[in-house]
Parts: sequence; structure tokens; C-alpha cells
Amino acid sequence: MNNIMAIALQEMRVGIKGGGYWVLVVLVNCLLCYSLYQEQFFALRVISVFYIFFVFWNIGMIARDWRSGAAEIVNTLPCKDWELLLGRAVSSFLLLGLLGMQMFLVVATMVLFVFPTPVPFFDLLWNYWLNYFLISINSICVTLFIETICRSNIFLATLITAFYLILISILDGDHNTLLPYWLPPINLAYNLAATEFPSQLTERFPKNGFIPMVLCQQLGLSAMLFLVSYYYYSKRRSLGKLGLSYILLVTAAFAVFLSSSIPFVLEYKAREQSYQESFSNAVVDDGQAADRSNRLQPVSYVMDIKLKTVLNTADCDVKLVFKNTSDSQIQEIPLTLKNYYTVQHVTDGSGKELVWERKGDFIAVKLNAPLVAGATMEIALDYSGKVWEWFTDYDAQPRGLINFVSPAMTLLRSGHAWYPVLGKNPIYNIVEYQSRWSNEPTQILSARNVSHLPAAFSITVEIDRDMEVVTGLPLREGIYLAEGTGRKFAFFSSSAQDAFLIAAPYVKIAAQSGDMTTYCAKLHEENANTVITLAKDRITFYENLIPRANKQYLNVVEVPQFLLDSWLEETAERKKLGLKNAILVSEYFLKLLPNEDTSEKKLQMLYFEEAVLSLWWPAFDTSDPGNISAGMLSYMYTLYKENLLGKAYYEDVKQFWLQYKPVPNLVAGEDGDRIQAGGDNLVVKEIFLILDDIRQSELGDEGVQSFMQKIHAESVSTYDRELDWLDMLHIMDDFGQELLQKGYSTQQVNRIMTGPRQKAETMNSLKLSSVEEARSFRLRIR
Amino acid sequence: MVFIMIEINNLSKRYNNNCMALNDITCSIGTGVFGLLGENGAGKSTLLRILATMIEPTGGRVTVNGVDVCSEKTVIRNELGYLPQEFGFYSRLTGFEMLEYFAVLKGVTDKQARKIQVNEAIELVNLAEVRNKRISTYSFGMKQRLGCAQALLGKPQLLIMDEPTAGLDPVERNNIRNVISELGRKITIVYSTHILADIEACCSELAVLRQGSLVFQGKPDELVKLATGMSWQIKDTARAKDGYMSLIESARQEEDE
Repeated sequence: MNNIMAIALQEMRVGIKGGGYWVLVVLVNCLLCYSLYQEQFFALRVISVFYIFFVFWNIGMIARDWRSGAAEIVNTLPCKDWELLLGRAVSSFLLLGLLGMQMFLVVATMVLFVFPTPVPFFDLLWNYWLNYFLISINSICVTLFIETICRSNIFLATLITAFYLILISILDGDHNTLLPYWLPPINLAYNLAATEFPSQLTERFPKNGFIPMVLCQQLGLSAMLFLVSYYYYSKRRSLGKLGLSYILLVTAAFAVFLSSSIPFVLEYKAREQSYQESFSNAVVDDGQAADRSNRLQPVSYVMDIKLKTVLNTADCDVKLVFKNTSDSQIQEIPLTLKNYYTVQHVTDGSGKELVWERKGDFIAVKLNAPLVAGATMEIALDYSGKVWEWFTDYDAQPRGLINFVSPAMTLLRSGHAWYPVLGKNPIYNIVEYQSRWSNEPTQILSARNVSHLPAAFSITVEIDRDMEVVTGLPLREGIYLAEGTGRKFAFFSSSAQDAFLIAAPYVKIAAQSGDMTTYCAKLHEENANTVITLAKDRITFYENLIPRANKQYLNVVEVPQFLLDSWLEETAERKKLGLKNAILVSEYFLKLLPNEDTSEKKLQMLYFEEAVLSLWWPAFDTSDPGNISAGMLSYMYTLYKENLLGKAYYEDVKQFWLQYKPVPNLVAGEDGDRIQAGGDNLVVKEIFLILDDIRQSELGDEGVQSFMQKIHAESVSTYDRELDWLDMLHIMDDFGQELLQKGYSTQQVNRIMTGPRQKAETMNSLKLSSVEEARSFRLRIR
Repeated sequence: MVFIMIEINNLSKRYNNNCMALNDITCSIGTGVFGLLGENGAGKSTLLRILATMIEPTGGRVTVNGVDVCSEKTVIRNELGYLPQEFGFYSRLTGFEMLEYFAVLKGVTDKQARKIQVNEAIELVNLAEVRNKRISTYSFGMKQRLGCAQALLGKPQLLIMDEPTAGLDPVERNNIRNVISELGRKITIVYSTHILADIEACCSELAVLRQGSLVFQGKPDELVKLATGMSWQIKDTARAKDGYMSLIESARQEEDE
């Protein structure tokens, strides 16, 4: 050990005297400062870029002996081969450690003094050092391996290194949840280095099990690379032969590597399997005639849910009262419930067992006696299941855990049929997607919103942890269970739609007015009231513009960043998290709230605006070509800003849309640097121009408000699908009729509605329904 | 003083290009300064590299005090100081730093002891004045002397030097010879040269290699006796050159016969 450290210290002197080290120091510091300036403390993502620099800097550890001619001497010196190699590796590690320490001090100073944001300092410390430690070790061992193969040929070593780095960059498509399961063994250091900061709400979930795996795998991999390097080096320097101890060491390193790689592979396979199960269920669902008629309407739900977080299970008892609103009697009740819930019993109101049949996500309950027209009935379902649903499609959908029960957090999304919904409502559509990597279209799942009409809701949730539970319904009661075994919550609403369920270690901050509650991480407690003020300010304005019929008690809910991960963050799919009747705010938003305006904060603010407006337009879609809801949302936001900033703002936005041309090279699923709430899309533009036509007509502000209210009313009644341009044309017809009834002449009505109608007809004729079609349209207009 | 006995038995070395560098060499080397004489390509460096554990022979065996140089490299290296014919240093370091680095690799991990040894070696090769200058500023001769200094680090009992005086000016050559002669009283030194004056100055015994074969082993006097009547002083004129070349050729033919 003494020898190794002595060699390492001497090597450090060689390293420090070399220009390469100081180039590295300047380079990484510049990068760090730049990214700190750009994104503040999120900047540590650049650690992954450091890896590339480290690998290149390390080239020459061995080759320099050959290049300088010192190898002739070094090779006859009595130090052992492994001492020499290890000494050099330790020296590189120490030099990188010094650099890391210096950079960490810069970051810590920035975080503590320059950006007074509530950052979990120890999380930062741990994450930074763990990543740094692993990329340092990996880069050293990788370079050592390449070098010992290439001997003195530094050109070849550089070439192979460059190839290696390009390869891992290409293979590493996503750093979070979507790595192909075979990929982690190749480049986990890089992968891990790119991971996000731990959530302030859920810490490292859902990757908490990964840390030991990653550590073992990286250390095992590095040890193997080192031992193989040692073999080559020793063969050359001492013409050594393999000893038993060497073989044992290699075996041990391989065993460590394998023991952590196998769980990785299994983990990723399980994720893929989870997605495949959803896929096969979607196929089964697709084969059944969808019954989306409103013959059956829910009257009330009484739900009793037990969340066993350690087992990842949810046990549910649901009593559903529904009414036959059709003219005929009904013998069979179609229900939609996620496939991973196993139904134990289905009984009627009197407790008699009912016969039921399950296919995919659908359940058909056969009634003992037909339900006559206009009659109501109660059925009770007892079901349970392990909720651990991964959504791992590669291109166009949210990825990662989408429904889960776990000790860190529980999320059961609205519109994902976690409780029985009347009718056969496919949870996913199967769509064809043209990947940018392949010429062949691939079939993927596209999440739908399994919605239902408003009904009286009573939900009791029992959870085996000390966590807050949010459902989008007003909380009636929250009690601690005996001996710290968990908590129990009761929620009730006389009219609620599409409930969700989130359980997390939240701090609950209620607004003084009592009509809004913020659920946030403890570190964000100070910002909760600010968020409430921001939300209320907007809601008051929007309510005056379009009053909602069913005003709910509102929750502002913080969600950890892994649910809105980097990929999702930049796309329109963000909204698919789906929390009905709640304003979803991201962790980043709460972190950035006290800070000065940055591009990141502006983007988060845009998401916040959309989250508030999603109370009116839950189906808004910001991906190309946009949709009517997104257009309405965008217009409402423009009016809100106009109210704050004056007419000039509105005119600016109008000019923007008049000059706007769809960008032809937008990649599917990507939003680019969008400016407008609701997205910068063709449909959003047309909606703006239609509404502006009406506003500029003699109807004025009141007219456009009344027209918007009409569209909103229509969207509420067509709750289970998005408005299309035909709906828009009907709304225009109705609106015209209303104007006539109000005393406007036919000529006046024609003058007002001709322009908007022409626009709507043009859009209807385009039938823009998919990204691909939108793309071809863009090409045409180009 | 440690008594060193190098035993070389039937040593052969054939390179991958089928070149027979050493052919069945057998000899013994005892304590003192042992010179290796031979023309370029005679196999001197190959023999020294085998002794220095750099390469392995294709046949035969070399032992140092009974320890096989092939199988017990570390043991040999612990007692070895080696100056290769061609070598280099890290040019960014100073002479002192470079020697300190080599001292560490030679196992001199104690800082104080290392400093003393490095200073002694520097003094011995007359580099004290430039010890703190970067090696990149050294002349060829300085680098050669620095090479000699590194070979002396770690107090080796066996010193192998491949043409240590090559490229040195007469003063420095003389100085190195003196160092070798001085050290030769305490340790075993094997060094190669094709400069007869070096052999005369410091070798107690020598061997002559030709085309990979050992053609002579003995004391310098014995070689001189052998050469009596066979050596000429030639004035180097164009006519004389042709004459002595033909004489040498005929002498070789006689010897071969």
C-alpha cells in the first residue's frame, strides 16, 4: 500500500506538471460555471459530459512510458506490475478527486450563497460524489484497458476511445427509465451520471434499489477491466503467467458484476413485460366492440381502499350505484377496470353474487334480473392487485412508472380505470408510430382518458404509512391509525369525476379562504402560499371568463420530477399524468419559484399556467398539430395576460400567430422551445384567429366570451373525447342561431360568422389527426 | 560487498523475424566490471536485455547467484540497476524529480532516504547544477548521465549498462569510466561497448561477441596477447583503407577456417 501511494504521489506530480490536467480543469470548470449560470443547480447533469473529458485525459497513462522511452527503464524496475498500474490509476483518481472537490466547492457555494433555493444539501452531496466517483473509476479503468491493448499506439487508443464514447452516446437514448435491459452493463457510469437529483418528495424512488446495483456493477466492471489490463501489462512487462490468485480475483470481479447485472436485466425485463401486458390487453380490448354509450350513468361511488405499500398492492371494495338512462332494459353491465386488478367478488345491492366475465380490461357483469329503463341499481366489487405499471414505449408516450403503490409514493391516475368505470372504454389506443430510427412503423400504445360522468363520490383510504393522501375530492377526515400503523382518510364530493389517488410524504398547507390546499414537499413549504396566490389570481380571472358548472374544492399537488422526467418534461405528453380537479405543479417549479427568471423557470411557469387552465381544458394537447382544447387554453391565457399587461400584449400575440408558420422539422413528440401556453401549433393558431375574428366583430369581448363558454359547455358534455372541427362547426351554427334569437339580422350573423366558419371548414377538411399527417401538411404548405 | 555470480548456459535468442541474436552462449561473470565487446548487431544488447529481465531467451538459462532471471524477475530486479542503450524520460520533470520517481519505483519509499540517494547519484554523474532544470532542456550527454544516475538508485548489486559512454564528450566519458571503476570494486557491473579504451580503462574481464556467438572470454591482457601481431596502426588514407579492409577480411577467413 505504501508503494502504491508513493507511486501515486509521484504520478500526481507528473500529472499536475502536464498541461493536459490544467486544460481539463479549465474545461470542466467553464462547463460547470456555464451550466450553473444557465440552469443553476440542475447543472450537475454535466457530470456526464465530464466523463468524456476524463476518458480522453486518461489516455497516456501507460503509453507515455513507451512514447518517452522510459519504458526501457520502468520495465526493469523492481516494483510489481499491479503496484505500478494501481499507483497510476490511484493517481488519476486522486487528481480527478481534487478537481471534483474544487468543483463541488464551487457548486456548494453557489447553492448556499448565490442561489438561495431550498436544495437538499446532503442529497446534492451524495448524488454528486456518487456520480463523480463512478465516472472517475470507470473512465480510468476503461482507458487503462484500451491503452494496454493498444500499447504505445496512442493514435489507435484515441480512435478506440472515441469510438467507445460515440457508441455509448448513441446507445444511451434515455437516462431514466427506458434503457434497453441489455444496455446498463455497457455504460452505467455514464447512465448514472446523468440521473436526476433525488426528489425532495420521494428521494431516489423509483431508482432507490438501483444505487447498490449500480455501485456493484460499476466496481465489478472496473475491477474486471483493471484485471484484464493488468494481465496484458504484466504479460508485456514481466512476461507473467496467470496465477490462481489472479483467476480468483477475475472470477470474484465477474461475480460482483454479474450479481448486480442480473437484477438489472430482470428489472428492465419486468418493466417491459408490464408494458407488454398493457399492450396485449389493449389488443384484447380492441377486439371487443367498444360500448361508450351513456346508457348507464353513475349515480354514486362508495370506495374503501387499503393501500399496502410494502407489497405494492391495493385492496378495494367499491359500491357503484348506476342508472339505466336508456329506453330499454339491460341485462349485462359492462365495466372497465385495469387488468392487474383481480376481481374477487361481484355482488348486487342485496349481497347476492353476480356472474361476471373478464376479457382484457373489460368486465361484463350479468345481472340476475334485467335492469329496467330508468331504474337504478347497486353493484359491489371486491378487487385487489399489485399496482406497479410501467409504460415503456420508446418514442411517443410517457415512460416510467405510471400507476404504482409503493412505500415512497402511490399514484393511481385519473382516467386509468383504477376503479370500475361503466362501459367498455379502452384504456389505450393502439396507434402506428413512425420511429425516427426505423422505416417500419411500430405499433405503440397511446393513453386514453377513461372518463365518466360526474357522480357522488365517497372514498375511504387506509394506508400503512404516515403519508398524506390526495384524491381531488374534498377531504372530510384524516386520522392516524393506532400505534403508528398508518393513516386513514375520508373524502367526499356530491359530484366528482375521474378521481385520482396520490399518497406521498406531503406537507399540507391550506389557503386561508379554505377552498384550496397545497400538497408539497417539506422543503417547499415556504413557497406553498405563493403558489396558492398565483393559482387563485388566475382562477378568479378564468372563472369570470368561463364559469365552471361543477366547482370543486381545489388541490395544488406537487409531483416529483421522475413523473415528469426530462423526456416528458419537454413534450406535450406531460399533461397525461392526469390529475383531474387538481393543479399539478412540478418539483422544479416549486424549487425555482423564489429565483430570478431563467429560461427554465419560464418554462416551468408555462407548465403551471397550463396546469391551472387544464381545469377548464383537461384534454388539451400541445403536441403537433395541437387540438381545440389547447387553442382555447391558449386564448384564455392570452386574455389573462392582456388583462395584466394591456392591449399591446394581445396585439403581440396576434402578430405572432399571423406570422406563424408550422415548423417543418419538428420531430414527433417534441415541442421545441415553445412560447405559447397550449403550444405553438397550427390548430392553436386557427382557434386564436377564429376567436379574434369574433372579438373584433361587433360582438366584441362579450361575444367572444359567450362563444368560448359555448365551446366549453360542449367540451364538458363530450367528456370522453376531444372536440373536433365538426363539433366546432355545430357550435358555430348554434351560436349563430342564438345571435339571431338575440335580434341580430341574418346579414350581421353572416358577417360575424363567415370568417370563423371558413377557417373551421378549412381545418375540418384537413383532418389533422396525427403527427404524421401534420408533418405532411407542413411539407405541402411549405 | 555481495558476491555475485552470473551463470550463462547455452543461451540462445531468436527473434520473431528469425534473426538469431544469440547462439548457444555459455560463460560466467563474477564480481567486478565485466565488459562486452562486439561490433554492432553482435548480440551485446540482447544479452544485456536478457540479463536485465527485459526479454526472455529462446533457449538456455541465465542465473544470478543461482536465481533464474526468467522465473524470478522481481528478485533479480531488486538487485538490478539498468541503463538501456536507448531510453527517455518524462521531459516535463526536472532531473531531480525524475530520479525521485525512479527511486520510488525501485522501492525507496522513505522520503529522506530517497532524497539522500538521489542527491548522491546526481553528484556522482555531475548533474548537480542542472538538477532542478526540466529534462527537456538537457543535452544528450546530460540525459545519458541522468540515465547512469537512475541505474545507481536503490543501491543495486548488479549494474547492467548498455554503452554508457556513447555520445559523451571525452571529459564526461572519463568521468563515467571512473565511476564504473569505483563501483566495480563493490558490485558487479556488466557493460557493453565497442570502444576498446573503455574496456582497457575499467574492465577486469571481458567477452567478445560476434554474430551472436561468444568468440572470447578472459582478461583484457589475454585479448591483447591474442591480438599481438594481428593489430596494425593504419594511417587513414583512401589507399590504406582498401588495404586494411582486405587484411581484416583475410584474417577473418583464416580464423573461420
